[in-house]
Amino acid sequence: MSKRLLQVMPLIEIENFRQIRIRGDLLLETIADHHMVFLHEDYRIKIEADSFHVRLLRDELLALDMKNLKKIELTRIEE
Amino acid sequence: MKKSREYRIVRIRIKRTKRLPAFLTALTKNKIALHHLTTTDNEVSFHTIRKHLPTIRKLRYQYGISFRIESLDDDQVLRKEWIVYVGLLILFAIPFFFSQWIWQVSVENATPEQSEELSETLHEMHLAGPFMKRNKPDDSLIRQYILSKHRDLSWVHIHRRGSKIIFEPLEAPVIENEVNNDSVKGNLIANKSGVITHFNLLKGERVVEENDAVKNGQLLVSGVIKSGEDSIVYGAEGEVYADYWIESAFSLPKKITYQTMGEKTYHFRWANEKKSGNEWKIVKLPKWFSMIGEVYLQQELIEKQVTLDEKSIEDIVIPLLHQRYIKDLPPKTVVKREKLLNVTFDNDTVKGKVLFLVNENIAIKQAINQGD
Repeated sequence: MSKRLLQVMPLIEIENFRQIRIRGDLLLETIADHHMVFLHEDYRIKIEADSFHVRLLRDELLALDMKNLKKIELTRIEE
Repeated sequence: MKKSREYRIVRIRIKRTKRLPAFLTALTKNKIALHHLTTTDNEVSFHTIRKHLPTIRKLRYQYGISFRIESLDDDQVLRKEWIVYVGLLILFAIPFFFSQWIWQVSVENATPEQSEELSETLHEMHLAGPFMKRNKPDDSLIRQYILSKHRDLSWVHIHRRGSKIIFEPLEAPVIENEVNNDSVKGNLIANKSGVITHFNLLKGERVVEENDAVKNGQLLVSGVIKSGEDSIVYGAEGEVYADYWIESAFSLPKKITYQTMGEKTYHFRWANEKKSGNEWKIVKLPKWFSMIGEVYLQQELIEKQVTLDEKSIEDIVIPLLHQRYIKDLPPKTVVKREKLLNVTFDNDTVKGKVLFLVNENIAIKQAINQGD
């Protein structure tokens, strides 16, 4: 996969607290109006905001626009 | 076409269920990119391309999910497809291509005979039908050719309006035949030397015959009829035509600059702007508009330079001399032939001699001295 050549390590970018980009193994757990939960590698990411607009969701890449971000929660998944 | 259809964008709306996130993840794992995913009260919708629909349908059964597909760009005119681009290209190319041609050639303000003759001449010049604009010779060349063919014309206006060319011939002014009212009876004598070609007599007795060479002052038609010893002064009237040569010398600068009229163009001028000298006509507009500015027509003057050579002497100088002589000679005069005697090219002047074979009425009336 081409993006592997450029980006091997998992990465999370938050731009201006309005956009978030996540690269790496990604699973969508919950999708609701005001919150979303992703499983990213060994972590669970919970994002709360007024509204979401997923610009792109594909294998190993997520680009998400958020309005009025309230909370980003990152917790390790304990087996 | 089929291939480009595959890449059309569709919008998929999915009823929200518990297995929806897993379904979306499964889509991404199947290398399907989801764009513009948004959530509403009980639906999640996203864009993807038509190509992925079979995979999405297959996964849908696994996850027990129902969705609706909306085509997004079926009614969109400018789709990102090659056929659209080709269409656009043709859309612009066709008018552009056709604008490169002159489609209509017309003759205006002419008598039917004139326009008939003129269109014949145009046909000879291959200017009759549709032709490429850039194949059109220069206006002045066309005019020159027409004027050399139609000596009865003094000018030809050439207007171009879009893909239409209009020729407007202007007739040379016909000089009214001077009515000779003098009732003096007399003989007709020659006022020039020449060879008689034909007679057009009303009264009188021929003294010379056709093809006779006559000299200036020689009696041509006698107005006296002799019967026995009596002679009756009857008076001769009419015309006697003779051929004679005119020799004409010319001396011209080698380089001639002249101006011809080009296209008329519209220009706009703000009210506070200075008037430019070369405006030709002001376009009539509503009065309130004069507060803002003026629109005026400008006649373009194209400056042309001709360097004379042997060919251009034939093309330019001889017709000019021809026009000059025909103007000075009485009506009904015909120039039968032109002959270039010699031309010498100096550094900056061209000198030469031209012979014109002219056929003209050479008879003038000479009163008969009746004695009593």
